[in-house]
Amino acid sequence: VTLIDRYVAEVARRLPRGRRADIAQELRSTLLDARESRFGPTASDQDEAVLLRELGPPGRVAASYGSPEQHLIGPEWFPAFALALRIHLLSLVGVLVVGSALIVASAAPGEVAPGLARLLGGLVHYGLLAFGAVVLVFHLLERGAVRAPGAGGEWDPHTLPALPEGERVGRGEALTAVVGAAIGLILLHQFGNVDERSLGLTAPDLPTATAAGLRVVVRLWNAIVGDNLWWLSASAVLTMALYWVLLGQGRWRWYTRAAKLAVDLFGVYVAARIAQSVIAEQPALLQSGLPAEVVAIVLRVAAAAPYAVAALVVLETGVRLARAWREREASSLGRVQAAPRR
Amino acid sequence: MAVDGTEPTQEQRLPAELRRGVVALAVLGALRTPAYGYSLQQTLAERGFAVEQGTLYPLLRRLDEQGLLESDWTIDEARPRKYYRLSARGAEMLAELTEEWSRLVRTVDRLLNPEAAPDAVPAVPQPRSDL
Repeated sequence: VTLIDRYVAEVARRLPRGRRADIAQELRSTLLDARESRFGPTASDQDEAVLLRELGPPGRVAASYGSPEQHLIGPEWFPAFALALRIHLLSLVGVLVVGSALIVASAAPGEVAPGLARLLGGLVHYGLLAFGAVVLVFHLLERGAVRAPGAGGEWDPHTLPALPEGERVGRGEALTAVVGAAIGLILLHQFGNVDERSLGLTAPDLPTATAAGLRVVVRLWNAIVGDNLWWLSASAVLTMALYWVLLGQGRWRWYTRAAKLAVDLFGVYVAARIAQSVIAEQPALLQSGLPAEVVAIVLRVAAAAPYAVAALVVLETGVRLARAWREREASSLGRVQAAPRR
Repeated sequence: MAVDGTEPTQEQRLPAELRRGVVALAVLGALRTPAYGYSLQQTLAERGFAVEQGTLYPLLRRLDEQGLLESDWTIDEARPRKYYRLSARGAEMLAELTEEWSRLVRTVDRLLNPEAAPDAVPAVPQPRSDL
């Protein structure tokens, strides 16, 4: 990947989508012509930097392709604007998740739905207000002819961001998933102890806790795990298999993405089964000596858990798809070779 | 912006602004022979009319979108290149602009050298708004 690749990608991502590919292709072709003509076939990184410095920062070049009066926020400010919006959206999602969890855990049963509706309404209201404020601030910066950071003064092409590496799978992420699932499997089968439900530690049993060698089994945990042992095991094995394949391939493909979604949805099903088991253990929980309020919270959290897991799966899938789309687009703009025909 | 990164002053911008007005005319004139962006820039520079890339390429696109130029990608060469050439409408516009340019040159010459040109100064044509 050369400086020219990175430069073209940076200019392109500031251009309107409809004209992006054509302009990027032409800019790239021109820069390669200029490089060859001025520095010969063995041009260095420094030679490319000289060329790009003369052309100017990507934001300024992108801006020259459109009339400044035609956009609310121009190419120089757009990356900062997009970042501000991303932070805004993430904070809204964070408030939604934390707020929903607090409402589910603390509100009376009849108050959960109205509470969630109030939270959602408030978020939409303040979300739109904040969005308007962000747009206004950046528009004023644009119209006030304030230069975006890095747009004026000395510009160094070596500060161009690297091109996205495509749909790569992080080795750390894959290894963690494989090892984590393996450890989970071992723990489940070593300490699940399905056949010894009478053994174990519950709150009132603590003084008479029984240890089978070094194995200490919690009775309640044991019952819940016992009901779902093979479902949990299947989930762990599927996760291990998927990430093992990803570890070998090094990048996401459409079928591994589909498999990931399937494994995640299976995880939602298992979470729902576990929640049912916890709720079914209500009598045991109440007999355990735990305060009734704590039991009520545990049951409510159990009831909400499958929805929370499902929401996380949807969020993660959405983020992954958006990232894949963006990386694919940016990568193809930086490295595009085939010419469009008109 | 200058190569050293400093912003040019208002005075330094004047020659560039003077040239900017006629870049479209020069480009239309040069594109009677089809050319791709870089070769056009070189041709103009060889003929003493250097134009910055940041000015030339957006201008080519605007003229293309206005229908004064036609463009086609070719992949027969070392790399894909977009060739531009004058369209029929562009040829008409070029003739019109050339006439206006000649008149403008004569007029400005007379204004700059009033003693050498005793004729009455003709009205300067109004600039077109579609360029």
